[in-house]
Amino acid sequence: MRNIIDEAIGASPVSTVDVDGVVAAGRRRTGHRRLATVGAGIGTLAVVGIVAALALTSGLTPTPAPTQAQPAASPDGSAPLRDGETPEQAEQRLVAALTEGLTAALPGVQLSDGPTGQPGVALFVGANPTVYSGDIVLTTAAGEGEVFFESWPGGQPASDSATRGEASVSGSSTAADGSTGAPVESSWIESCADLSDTNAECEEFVGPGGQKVVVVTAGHSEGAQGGAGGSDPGAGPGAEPVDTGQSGEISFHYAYVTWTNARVLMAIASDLKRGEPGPYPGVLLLTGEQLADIAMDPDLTVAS
Amino acid sequence: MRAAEEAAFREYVSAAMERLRRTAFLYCRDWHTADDLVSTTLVKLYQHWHRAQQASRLDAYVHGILAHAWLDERRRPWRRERVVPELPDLAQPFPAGDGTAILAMLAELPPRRRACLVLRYYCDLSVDQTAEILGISTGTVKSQTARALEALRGPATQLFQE
Repeated sequence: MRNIIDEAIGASPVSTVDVDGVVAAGRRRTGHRRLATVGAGIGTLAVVGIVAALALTSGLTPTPAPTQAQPAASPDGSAPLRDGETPEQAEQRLVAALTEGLTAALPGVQLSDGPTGQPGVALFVGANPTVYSGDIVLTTAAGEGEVFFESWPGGQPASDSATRGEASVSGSSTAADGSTGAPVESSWIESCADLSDTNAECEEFVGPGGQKVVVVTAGHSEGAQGGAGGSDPGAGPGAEPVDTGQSGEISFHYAYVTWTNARVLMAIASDLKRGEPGPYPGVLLLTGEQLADIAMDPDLTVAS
Repeated sequence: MRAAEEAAFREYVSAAMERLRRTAFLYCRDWHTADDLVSTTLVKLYQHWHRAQQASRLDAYVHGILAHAWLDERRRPWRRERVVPELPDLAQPFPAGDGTAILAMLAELPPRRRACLVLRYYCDLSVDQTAEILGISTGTVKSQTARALEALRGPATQLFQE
């Protein structure tokens, strides 16, 4: 039967399916989904996930939140980078700064790209506006950790065509029945006031460069919206791995740095599941303070 | 996804690509759309690769994603099928020996009926698997398939029952 149909179809034309592109899109979507999972217990990031689901299933095209200043666009429509710097140069600079920051905080650490396992730090560059994101696995004698990184110019984390709806968005949601719901706006947590998880620890301060820094430490049971796991102190270099003691519990530190014209987000997550490996390594290798120190580095910003 | 998992993903994609493209073509009868559907399917598969590998039958899992990608794609405004005053006569037997007529007749079937037929007879999935993928009962799969076969009656029916 199948042979008869195959004969009817005839020879297939050359495939236009780009497997590398598929992997890149999958990597980026996975990274955003995992970041959203990390933040699901602490407030507005949960909205991000919900809006993303609505957007993806309804065809909703999210638009950048209008409440935040966006830098003037370049002639090609993308957000501007630093003067005289090409996107490739910006990527190299970010990779170097990330590598330096992580290796300084964790001497002897081995860095690799989470999605591919390739040695070193690899960043995915989203276009229009430009967003640099990475998923970096840290391997130390104490175990493995995983860091998520995003850097973008101006306001909201943006998304490329492959991930539209998974970054912060605003717009009207369309329900399954076709009706249009109220406008939904969400954003990454930029202030401790944004937190809905009362168990989370949050610190907010102004960095040496005038940048606003928000550091969140929290834990929540995976799949539980609203989060109730409580915080953990994390672990510094050489510290014992953190055992949150609950099946499927995610613990994380999150640092969000707001510059005049740029944003940097870093998160390190740990997931311990008893009986089966979870999606995150079981060790929080950096404290929130260490994470913030790295994220505050002006060399991690995309725009001046 | 770790390096070993991604290598396994790429290996699977390499092996399954041609079959997926041809199945997608059966759904939409357009190679560009078929490749778009396969790309969409593979991105979703990548996201759920860890879980997909634990599926009792990976191929069925992937064909499920593909079938839904096509059904979803059809709902997009620019893909909607045109409304015509009268439905074409589905009972026209295709010329014996003309294999391409099978494709034309498949295209005349309503989407879910077409999906039933493709999943059952081209992807070799069971009634249970087809029902699970499409989210319908096994009885509905049987009746939809029977109606599809009825529409393709004549020489086509003989082909599908072989």
